[in-house]
This record gives sequence, structure tokens and C-alpha cells, in this order.
Amino acid sequence: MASIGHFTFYLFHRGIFYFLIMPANKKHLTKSPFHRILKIVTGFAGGYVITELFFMILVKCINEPAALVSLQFAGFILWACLMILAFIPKSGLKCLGIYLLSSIVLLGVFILIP
Amino acid sequence: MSQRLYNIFFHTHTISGIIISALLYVIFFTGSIAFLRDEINAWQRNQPIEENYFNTIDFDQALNNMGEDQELYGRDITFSHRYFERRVTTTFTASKDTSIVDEALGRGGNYFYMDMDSFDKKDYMENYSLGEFFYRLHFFAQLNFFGRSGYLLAGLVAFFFLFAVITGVIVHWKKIVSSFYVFRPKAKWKTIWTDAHVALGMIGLPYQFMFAVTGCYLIIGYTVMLPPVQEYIFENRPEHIEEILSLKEPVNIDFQGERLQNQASINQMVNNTLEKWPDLIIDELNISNYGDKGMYVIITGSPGFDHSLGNKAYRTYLADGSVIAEKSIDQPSGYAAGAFNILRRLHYGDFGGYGLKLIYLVLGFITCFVILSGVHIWLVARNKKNISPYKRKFNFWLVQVYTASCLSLFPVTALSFVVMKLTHQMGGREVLYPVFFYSWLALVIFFLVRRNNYFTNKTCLLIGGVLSLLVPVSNGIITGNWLWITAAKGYHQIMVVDIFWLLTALTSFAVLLKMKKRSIAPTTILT
Repeated sequence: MASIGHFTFYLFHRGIFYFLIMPANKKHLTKSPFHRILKIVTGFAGGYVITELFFMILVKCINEPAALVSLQFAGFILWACLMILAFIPKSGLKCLGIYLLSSIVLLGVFILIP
Repeated sequence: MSQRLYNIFFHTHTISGIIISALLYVIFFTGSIAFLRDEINAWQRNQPIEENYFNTIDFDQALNNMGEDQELYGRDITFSHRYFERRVTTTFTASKDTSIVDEALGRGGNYFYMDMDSFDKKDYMENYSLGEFFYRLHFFAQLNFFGRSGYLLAGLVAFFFLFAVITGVIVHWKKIVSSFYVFRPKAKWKTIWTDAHVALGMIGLPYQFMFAVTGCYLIIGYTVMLPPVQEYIFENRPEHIEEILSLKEPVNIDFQGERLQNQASINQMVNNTLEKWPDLIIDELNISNYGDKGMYVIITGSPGFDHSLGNKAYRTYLADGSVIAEKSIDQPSGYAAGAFNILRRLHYGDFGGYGLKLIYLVLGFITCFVILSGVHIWLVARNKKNISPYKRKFNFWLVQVYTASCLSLFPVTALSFVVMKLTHQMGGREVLYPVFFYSWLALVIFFLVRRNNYFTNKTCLLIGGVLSLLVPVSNGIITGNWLWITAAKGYHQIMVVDIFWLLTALTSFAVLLKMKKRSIAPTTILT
């Protein structure tokens, strides 16, 4: 019992600590609206393009029904993750660059596969 | 994770959540009601069916009746029991014999609902029902003003919900175990909302993730994900993709153009299948090239409480009753067909009887709570002096509108049930639409005038509770099927709906009694 009590006490304090910094601390957020919008658009549109290219390569390489069904559900998970990843770089331009480059590489692979 | 990333992800979680919250609440609320879609229809029409109803249908008679209206020769006919009602979805194609020409049928003209006891047919509007209304509201079919705009909106909400679920997990990851146990009901409001949001969000997490993914898949999986594939790989031929995705084993029998002299009975084939697999629940019967020498019949189903959600069993019969192909439930379906089936059944929750539906329902309403508490954290955390007054004003009104629209859904839903029962509406979109949407609007405006969350909550619980109680009562008065009579007669579908509303009424009264007394004067913005 003592260990449970200790555990709850520990957690209680962790809990309070985390929610004291809510809402999110502004000083850590991207300040420039340009970079912010760039990241959101890149994550949404770029994420979609990369997802589609990735699964289109799978459709060409692996069997068709499996890749098509996967695209319809796992595609959304991949897309959502790519939207999240777009927020990691500090600069929106860097983010756009990475997504553009990945798209071009995937597009190259897609075209090269017969 | 660095402080910077933690705060950024926290912010994306907050913003994506606040944008979709009210819409997502409507989706989860009406979607939870729609778990009982078929029971609600049985309740509304007073037409309960037995378990395994589809197994007992007289298909030969049904086809004879259909044949009186049109020549069936050479058509493909499908009876499908996706909804467990007496009315079975019946679709048919044009005849492959080109001498049989249909009059123009228009959109939706090649299907109808056939009552398998009386064999009369209803088109879509005649078949419209309370269950169908809530089912369709949960993917915003009523908002299809521009093409499929409602579906797209529901799909985008589901997608941003997936985004919010994933960012929520990232943000709460470090204390994922601890949050599960923390609840401080005596603390200040922000803490209460936060604890409730996090603890219930944790409990519902697998459920919510599953619904976000399967919801995206079902509503926009095809329309959003497949167009580029269709354009760049399949040269814009949608029929090619449809053929791949139909995932049916091809039967290499074509239309012959010669009529059958004597064909075996379809009922015989159904009985034959049930002799082979007695625990099978048949849900689809597919006849190709009806009445032709190339006719064949595919009977598909799955066992009731079954461990293999991804599998379906089928048998293919020739017109003389001989079996040419079959797949038992134990033979693997393969990845694509398995995923196709499992995603649907997880979303519909039709694989574990009423016990499972109850768990699904409760988790659905818990999710509604998580959504609303999230909105209230958002407001409370921003109601501070260092935030500009116009922003605070905006936040305040936004949350008032959200809370009023979300909470009044409960009394409005109960009201629709009572009104539809009392007016004997068998279908009746003309009555249901105004009753539901105008009473909703009126309640929202009323609550916005009062501007008091305590008052809104209390009034909704009170009106909702009374109306919920009236649902089984109105049913008893109109049909004579009181709760104890449905229980005695074994009308489980009707009983389930009445019990659901009775429990809902009791729950809301219990909450009302437990509610602490608070001021009911209009809330103002902190200045």
C-alpha cells in the first residue's frame, strides 16, 4: 500500500507540473505567421502528396488489392503523422524543402518502376 | 522531447481539437445512437425480427413477387441484410438480354427495400426512418448541399480527430500511466476539466483511435485517397479499381442467352448451406444471370460470435443446386479482404451482441464528454487578465455556442423519438426534419440568451430525462408493447430501445440529484 501511496504522490506532482504550463507557452511557438502557415500547408498538402506517392509505389511493386486497401486506412495514419512531423523544423522553408525533396525522390522512384 | 516541441504539439492538439469539437460531438453522439439503428427502426415500425432472420426468408416467394413487376430474366439480383430489419435491401441490374429494356429508373431506381413477411416494396423515401436519420446525421449526409460536401466535411473532421488523437498521445505520453489514476474532484474547475479530459481520454484512447481510422476509411477512403491512383496508374478507369477492390473470387460463367427449363429452389440452396454450417448467419444472397443457363447463386455469411472478424464464408451454387465453389470460415481470406471486413465490423460493432454494443455506446458518450471537457479547459485556461478583452469575449461566446448546441442534442433526440411514435409516423422525413432541427435551434437560442452553463446543463438533463422516460411510455400507449410485454413476447429489438431510454432517463435524474446548487444567473466574462 505504501508503494501505491508514494506512486500516486509522485504522479500527482508530475500532473500538476505539466498542466501549469497550459495553454502552451507562447515563447516556444513559431512566431512568424508566414512560417506557421507554410508549415501547416506543407504538412497538409505535402503530407498528402507523399502518402499518395508512397502507396502508389506499393501498388506498382506489391499486389494491387493489398496496397489499395492499405492506402484507404493506413494512408490516413501516415498522412496525419506527416502533418505532425511538419511542425518539427524551426523554419517553414526548411520544412517545405524537405517535403519537396522527398516528393521528388518518391516521384523519381514511381516513374522508374515499370 | 524538448520544451519547444512539447509546446508546439500541445498547441496543435488544442487548435485542431477546438476547430472540430462541436462537429465531432455531433458525430459521436448521433453515431452512438446509430449503434441501435436497426433496433430503432424495429421499434418505430413495431416490426421486431428474430435473430438469424435472413436465414428464414422465403426467397423463392420474394423472387416470384418481384417477377410480377418486371421481367427478371438475365438480371443480377442481390438481397443483402446489412441492416437487421424485416425490410431487406434488394438491388438488381439491367438484364443482359438486350431485348428486355427498362423504363428510365433514375438515380436509386435499381434498388428497393422488400418486406420479407408481406413482400411489399418500399423505395428509399418510403423506407426513411428514425434510425436512418441518426445514422445519416453521423456522417452529415444532410449537409450534402454541394455534391458530397457533407461526407467530405465528416471525413475531414474524422481526419483531424485522428490528428488530435495522435498529438494528444504525444503530449501526454510521459504521464500516460499516471493520468489514468489522477482525479481531483474538489479542486478548481481547470483541474477538474483537465483530469476528466485526460483520464477519460486515456480510457477511450484505443476506441477513439480505431473510430478515427475506420471513420476516415469508410467515409473518404475512396473519394480522397483513390483519385490520384486512378489517374496515374489505372488511366482513369474507375471500373478497373472497383474490380480489384470487389475482392470476390471470379466465377467464370457468362450469360448464355438460353432460358432455364427448370431451376432448383433458392430456399433449398439456403437450407443446404445451413446444413453444412449450422451456426452461419447469412447476410447476403447474390444471384447472377437469373433464369439463364449461366445462372449461379452465391450465399455469404459469417458465424455470430466469431473470433475471426476478417473472414466470411460463402458457397456458390449452379442453377441445378450443385456446389461449384465454397470457402469455409476457417480458410484465410487474405490480407485485403480481411482488412476490408475487419475495418467495417470494428466500426459497426456488430460482432459481439448487445453486450458489445453497450460498451461501444458508453465509450461513445465518454468521448462526447472528453470533447466537451476539452473545450472547457480551452476556455478556462484563457480566461485570464493578461488576455485581451475582445479575445476573451470571442472565446466566451464560442464556448457558449458549442456547449448549448452539444448539450441540447440529448433532449432533442428524445423528443424526436416521442414525436415520431405519437404521430404514428412510419418513415416521415417531412415531420422528423422540422421537429429535430427547429427544436434544436430553439433550444440553442434559448440557452444563448440565458448564457449559463449550469442552467443549460440542468435544463437539458431535466427535459432530456423526462422525454427519455416518455419514449417507452409513448411506445406502450401507441402499440401496447410495454416493456414487460416485449420481454415476455421476446421482441428483443423493441425491448432494447425502451431499456436504453429508461436507463438514460434514470442516469440523467441521478446526475440531477447529485448536482450541486450553483448560481443560475447569466455568466459574464471576467473583466
